[in-house]
Amino acid sequence: MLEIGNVSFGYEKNVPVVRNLSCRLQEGRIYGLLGMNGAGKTTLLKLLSGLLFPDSGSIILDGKDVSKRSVETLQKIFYMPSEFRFPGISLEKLIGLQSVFYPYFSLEILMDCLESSGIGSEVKDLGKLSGGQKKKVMLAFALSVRTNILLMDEPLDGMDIPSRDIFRKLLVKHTDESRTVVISGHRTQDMENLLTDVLIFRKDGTVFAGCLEELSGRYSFGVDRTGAGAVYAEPCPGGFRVIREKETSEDTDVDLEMLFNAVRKGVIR
Amino acid sequence: MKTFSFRRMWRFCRLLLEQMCFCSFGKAAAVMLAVIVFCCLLPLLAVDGAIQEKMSVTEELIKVLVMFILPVTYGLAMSGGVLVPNLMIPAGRGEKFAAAYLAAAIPGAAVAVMAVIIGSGVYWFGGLLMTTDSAHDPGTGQYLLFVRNGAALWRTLLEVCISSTVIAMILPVLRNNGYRKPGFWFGVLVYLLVLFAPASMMMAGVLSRSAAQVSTAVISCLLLAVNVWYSCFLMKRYELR
Repeated sequence: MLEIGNVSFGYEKNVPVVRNLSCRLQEGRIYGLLGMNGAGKTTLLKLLSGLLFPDSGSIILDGKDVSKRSVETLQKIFYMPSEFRFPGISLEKLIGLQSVFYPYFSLEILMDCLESSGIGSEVKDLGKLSGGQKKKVMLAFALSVRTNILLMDEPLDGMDIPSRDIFRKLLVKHTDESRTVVISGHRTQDMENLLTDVLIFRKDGTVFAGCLEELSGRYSFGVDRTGAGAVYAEPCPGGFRVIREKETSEDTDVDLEMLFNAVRKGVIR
Repeated sequence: MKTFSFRRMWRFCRLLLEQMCFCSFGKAAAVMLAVIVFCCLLPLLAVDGAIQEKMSVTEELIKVLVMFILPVTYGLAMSGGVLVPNLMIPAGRGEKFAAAYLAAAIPGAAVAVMAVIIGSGVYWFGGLLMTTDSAHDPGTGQYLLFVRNGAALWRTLLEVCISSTVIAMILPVLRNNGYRKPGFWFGVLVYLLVLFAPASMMMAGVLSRSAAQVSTAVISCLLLAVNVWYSCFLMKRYELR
C-alpha cells in the first residue's frame, strides 16, 4: 500500500502545486489521475515514484519512504514518463540490460504485450520507432516487470484508436490484486470502464480522491430536460447533463467528464 | 543495513556504457583508432625535430584526449541524457555513482592502452622511414608511447582515473532549478585556482619544483575526496524537476 501523508509540494515558494494531499493507494486498484494542463499530475506521479521530494509530508511504500530510493523500493515501483527516448540499440539488448534489475520480470508477459501491440520482438533499432510504437514497447516493459506500483503518465498520448483499446485490455489482463496502477490523462473516454478510483486536481492544488463504486452508489449521472434540483448540471443538446443525489437503486455509470467538471467547480467535494 | 552489490554496479555500468553516444563498441573503437592515428600523424608530419620530440607531442595530445575531452564528453552525456533517465533503475545510490564513474574512466583507460599499442606501431613505421639505420633500434623500446619514459603509462592511467572525477563536476548540473549558475562557475573557478596554486607559486619563484609537485599531489587527493563526497551528496538530493 502506498500511503500519502499530508504531502505538499511546489516548484516555487508559496506556490503549491500539490497541497495537503493525504490518501492511501491500495493494491488491486487502478487510479485515474485527472486534471487540467499544468495542474500537477506529472508532479504527483514523480512524487509517488521518489523523483521529487515533498516539501512537507511523506510518501511511504511498505513502511519505507520512497524519497530514499532504496533498491527494495525501486524494485517495487515502475514509472512510465510521458516523454522518453530510447537509445539506438536493439529491443533484445535493452531488455537484457534493464530486466536484470527487476526480480519479477516476466518474458512471457513482455512477448504477449508486444505481439498484441503488433510490435515484433526483433526490433533492431529502438531509436527508429515512431512515437506510438515506442509507447507500446514501453508499456509492454512496464507490464512485464510486475512491480507493485505502476505509474503511467499519459500513456495513451500518441497512440492510435485500436491501440488504446489494446492498451486497456492488456492492462486489465496483466494487473492482479497485488498491483496498484496510477494513470494520468486528459481524455476521460480513454479511462472509462478501466478505473476503480479517481484523483482529480482542483485549481488550488488540493486533490479529490474518490472510489467510483462509492460515487456510483451516491450519485446518478444522466441527461435531463431541466437541470433543476441537480447537484451539478451542464447544458447539452436535448437539455442538461446532470449529476443528482441518488434516489433510486438504479445504477448508472460514473460519467468521468461530468465528475471532473463538477469537482473542478467545487460542487462535489 | 545498506549493502553494495558489485554485480548490480557492473550491470548499471554496462547499461550506461551501452546507452552512451557510441552505442556500438565497434564504432567506438573505430572512432578512437582514427583519433589516435590522427594524434600520431599530425606531429609526425607537421612538427619539426627528432622523432622523440614528435612522440612527446603525440603523448600530450592523447593525454588531453583521455584526461579532459573523453571524461567531459561522457560526463555530459551521462548527466543529461543517460544517467538521469535511469534514476529509477533499482540500484543503490553508491552503486549508481560508482557505475557512472567507471563508465567515464573505462573508455579513457581503454583509449590510453590502445594508444600505446596503435601509436607505438605508427611511430615504429615512422621511425623506419624517417631515421637512419643506426638510430632505428626497435629493441630498445624507443618507439613505445608513454612506456619509453618508464612508468609514464601508469601515471597516465592514474591521471585518467583522477580526471574522470570531472564527471563529479558535471553532476552539479543535475540540480537544475535548485542550482544557481553563478555558484556553479564560482565553484569551478575556486577548484581550478586551488589546483593550480602550487604550479603558479613555483612559476613565481615562491615554491621549489619538488615542493610544488608534492603540494599539487596533496591538493589533488583532497579535491578528489571532496569531489567524490559532494557528488554522492548531490546524487542523493537530485530531483527530476
